[in-house]
Amino acid sequence: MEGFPLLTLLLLFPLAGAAVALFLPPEKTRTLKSWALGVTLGEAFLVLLALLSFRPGSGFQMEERYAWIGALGVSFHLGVDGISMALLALTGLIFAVAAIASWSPIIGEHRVKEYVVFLLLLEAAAVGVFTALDYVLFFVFWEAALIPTYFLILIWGGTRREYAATKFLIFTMVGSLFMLVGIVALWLGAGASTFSIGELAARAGELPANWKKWIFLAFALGFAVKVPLWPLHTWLPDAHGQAPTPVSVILAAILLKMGAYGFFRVLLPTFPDVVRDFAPVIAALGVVNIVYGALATMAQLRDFKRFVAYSSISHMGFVMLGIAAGTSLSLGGAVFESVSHGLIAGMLFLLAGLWYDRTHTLDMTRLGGMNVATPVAATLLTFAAMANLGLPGLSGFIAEFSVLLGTVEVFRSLVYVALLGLVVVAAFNLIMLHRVVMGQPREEFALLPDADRRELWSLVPLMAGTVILGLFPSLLTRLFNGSVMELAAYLGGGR
Amino acid sequence: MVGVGILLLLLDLFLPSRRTVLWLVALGGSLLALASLWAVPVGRAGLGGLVFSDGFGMFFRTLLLVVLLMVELVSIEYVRGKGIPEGEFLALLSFASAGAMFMAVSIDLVALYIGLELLSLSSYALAGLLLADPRSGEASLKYFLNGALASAVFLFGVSIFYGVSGSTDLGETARSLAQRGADLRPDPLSLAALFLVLGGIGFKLGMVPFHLWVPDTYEGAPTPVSAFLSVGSKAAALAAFLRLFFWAFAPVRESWTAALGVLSLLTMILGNTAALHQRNVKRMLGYSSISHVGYILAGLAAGTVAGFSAALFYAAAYAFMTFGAFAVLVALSREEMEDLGGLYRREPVLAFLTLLFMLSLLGIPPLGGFWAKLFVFRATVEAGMSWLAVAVAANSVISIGYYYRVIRTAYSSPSPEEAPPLLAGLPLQLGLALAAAGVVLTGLFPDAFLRWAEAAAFFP
Repeated sequence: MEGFPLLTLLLLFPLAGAAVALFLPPEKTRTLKSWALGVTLGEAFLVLLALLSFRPGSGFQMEERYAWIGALGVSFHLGVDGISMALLALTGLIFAVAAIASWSPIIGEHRVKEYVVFLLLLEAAAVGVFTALDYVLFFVFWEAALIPTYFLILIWGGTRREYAATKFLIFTMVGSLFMLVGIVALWLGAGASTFSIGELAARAGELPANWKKWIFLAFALGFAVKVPLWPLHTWLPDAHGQAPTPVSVILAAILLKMGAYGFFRVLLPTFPDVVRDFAPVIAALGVVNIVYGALATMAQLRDFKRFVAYSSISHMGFVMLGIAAGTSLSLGGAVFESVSHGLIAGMLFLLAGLWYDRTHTLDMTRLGGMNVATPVAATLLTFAAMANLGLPGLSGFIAEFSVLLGTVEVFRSLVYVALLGLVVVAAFNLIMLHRVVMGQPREEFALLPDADRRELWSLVPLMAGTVILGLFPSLLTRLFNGSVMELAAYLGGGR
Repeated sequence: MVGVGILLLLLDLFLPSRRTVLWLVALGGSLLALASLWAVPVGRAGLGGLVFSDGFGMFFRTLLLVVLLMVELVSIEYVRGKGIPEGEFLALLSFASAGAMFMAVSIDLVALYIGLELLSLSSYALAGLLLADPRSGEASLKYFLNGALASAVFLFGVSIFYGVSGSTDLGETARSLAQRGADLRPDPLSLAALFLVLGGIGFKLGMVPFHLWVPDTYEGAPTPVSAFLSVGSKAAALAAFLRLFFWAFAPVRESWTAALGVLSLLTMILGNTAALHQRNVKRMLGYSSISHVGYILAGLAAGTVAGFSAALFYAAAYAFMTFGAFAVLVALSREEMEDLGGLYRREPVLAFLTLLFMLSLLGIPPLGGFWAKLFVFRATVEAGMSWLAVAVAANSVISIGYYYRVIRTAYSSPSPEEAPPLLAGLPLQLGLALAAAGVVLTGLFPDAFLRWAEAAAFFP
């Protein structure tokens, strides 16, 4: 596989898939959906190939670099390290799952062709973000991810879709403009000769301290909106709550991770000293995310999707806390949490969608008694809730435990607060289970069909993922250990 | 000189009244002119030293001819549908373009003035060609009254320079400015003349505070004419502006860069904030074009080679994206925001093009508008005018407000009750495709265009 442009292929494959979908007849919805599934499965296979040819260790692999705009130092530069490889693997899996979930009645027959095109474009953009090593390329993919997402919410979303899509667009657009300002400032500061992320990171040390601080803040703002870090999170419950099920899955599993990934790819290597200065602030905000997210979830025990959305905010707090602490254990935990949360939030959204398709309600107080009505789905929900609250043996536990363990020597008191948050996390998951699973179902919901084969096909891989990663975490950690240790050493040396 | 040649060629051929032939001749004429640009020797003066053929003139003439070609392509159906007299329309358009090109190559104050008047007089008439629509007449009259004043002001400035230097040659003007002033500062009389000239050109550019005619005229004029005014006419004004300020007034650069910076700031802020409230898309594009002039001026305020070539690049990118936005309106033959509603369902391709042009106007990479802003940004920062760079960035954020509204309307709002059938003839499609290609190519290969702009940037 040496020298084979696998990453470019990864990028072009869904793009080509989208281009072909443009020429498929719009009324053949089955063909279109099968096409989407085929392309995402093919892409997942390519990701698997990349995974197999990836050699654990530090530094970038499978690099490809072609000159693009020579005069400005822009190049078409792709490459992966352990962290991007982990997220790439998640992307391959989640999009295939989302393609399966797209058979759900919520998409139905409504403009399926455009839906498929946007879905595949979004996949290409996500792959691009996780592989780009050039700022212009990175930004292009970052923005390119935004536009299909916007339309996916706007056209196929719930009743308040227009509001949700607009809010999403404005928040993330303003965030990315700040990032763009940061990119341009960094480029100018380093002599306006290269947009390479790596080369600029090496040169950023020479910038004046004040300058560095402002550039850091511009980037951090752009990424924090995406994560989202409190208090920039308000778009998330609306966007995730209103998006159609498969898109909610992608939003939670992939798009939030782009924000965290920005910290790993850009901020930690480029501004290690500024990150150190701001670490307490980021960590504190991360803990606010955990606690505030958990408390807010408690208040959302009606709307199922908003419930999952707020619980995502809480979990993303762990990612940020791990990043801020900057030890190899906490950083590894943050990557692990990124992947693990992708699987778990994906399951929860799929289940919320499953019942919504049958009952047309997201109101948990109206569900109830689902272990009688739909025992299989109820079992899956129980599993997902357990994974969500961090049951040992499942992936969420490993992730949160390593974040807390890695952070305890750096921000001891914050860890205590985060632990309190964990109690609330456990509580809301149990209350949710109590509402949805226990009791007797309402009369009109007593005869609901249970999870069908298609739904199982979308849920079981995610479930298997949480179990496998929970039992054999080293499968994932060996991918990114090298990169994470390198980053930790760079950040603070042996701390 | 080639510009004059084309003018005569077109003039003669416009006498017959067979209609299709007219269009073919017009299109053929602009293509021929475009091709003949390659044959023009570079670095030669002509017409007894009134005009000078250099890389700069070449850049603007190419740009203006491409614009003319695009305007002709998109206007065929529109002009016929609205009952605009075709012969007059084409003849005036050709005259205006010839005047514009003449401005781009002039190195003499009087020649510059002649070009300006040719462009202006034709434009006044063009704006009023929608004979049945009173708004068109209003547009024309407003444009004329303001324009006549601006011309007078410009001419007054020119006459002072003549009195001071004894010559209308731009090189002579520069020498006399350098002699009379001290320490890169002009004497008071020259300074007054300089600002009079700035006012005259600023009017054509739509620079604040000489912008008041822009929204009214764009709204009332036939849409292809609005497109021409906002793209072609502005490019010519920019060319004249550059010739004057970076050639003739270059010795006293210190005296006007700061003023230009402030004007640039005011122009972008006013254009952007006013655009936010518009319901009429043409009006909104009018204000948007004002704000883009602000960005271009920001590059010029830097007063460096980088700023100069940034402005040239911006002019090219701006021409394609703004023209494209107007061309979409031509295709709709409507211009209120609601008329864009549901465009995505009716005409997905046109909706996609709208998206493309709006994103480029917003400055999203990898489209031409992004690089244009980036170059301006770089030039201002390097020139130590970071405040202006910040203003460019902040204004780009504001501009999300109105460009986004166009996108949202096109993609999600319901279709209007009764929509006239879209114009979709082959020429129109070609024109739109040209504009889209321009936006994408300047975006994907900015370095090629920038090199061209740098080669065109004369600098003392």
